[in-house]
Amino acid sequence: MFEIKLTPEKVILLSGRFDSLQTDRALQIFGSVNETATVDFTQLEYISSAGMSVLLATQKRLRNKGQQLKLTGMNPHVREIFKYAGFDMIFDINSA
Amino acid sequence: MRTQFKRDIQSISSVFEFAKSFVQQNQLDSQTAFSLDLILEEIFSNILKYNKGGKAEIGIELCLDNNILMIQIIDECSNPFDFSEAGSYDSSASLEKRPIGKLGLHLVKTLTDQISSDYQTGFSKLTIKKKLKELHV
Repeated sequence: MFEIKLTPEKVILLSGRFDSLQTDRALQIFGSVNETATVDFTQLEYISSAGMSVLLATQKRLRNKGQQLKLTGMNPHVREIFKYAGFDMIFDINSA
Repeated sequence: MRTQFKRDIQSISSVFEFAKSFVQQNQLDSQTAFSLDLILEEIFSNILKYNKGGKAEIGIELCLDNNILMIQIIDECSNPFDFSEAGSYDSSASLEKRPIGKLGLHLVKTLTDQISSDYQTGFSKLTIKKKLKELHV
């Protein structure tokens, strides 16, 4: 089960499991973001490279406009994967 | 435990259920469960990505021996493939130079201790070993 929601405060709420089956739905939301936004991982249990690639593509697009994604609320397993990927160098990450 | 999976990305949900059963049966911890799901998803999706024309189901076998988790992924309709020759991923590259792909196999390599691949005329077997912590649960 995966849920994604963009709030009026420009917070993208993720929950459940962000795997290969969820990228199309996630791209619809991330693709609509054109300003700096926060991605809230608090309720996200799992993410694979498919989900991380959606974040990376969005970060590239936003940085070209001087904007960015900020990530917050990761559980330790997700945080570890982001570290292995070196994403802590290209995203502003605040752990839970 | 061994099961065959239909060659379709939708099968990934069944792959996760299979992994969950193995984790519960062996009382593995949440970190191992996360890593197992990630490894299986990355390899399974990679097989589909690079051999779309294949028809055979994909076999996955999991076993635990002396605190070593062994994962075998068997494709009987495979293109020639050598995991050791899979492209490298620079996790220190700048955002501008960071590729969108290749991350999955990098994570698999990072999360595991030993990977070997064997290919013989359409049959490929990937064997992955991961040492687990002494205490489960």
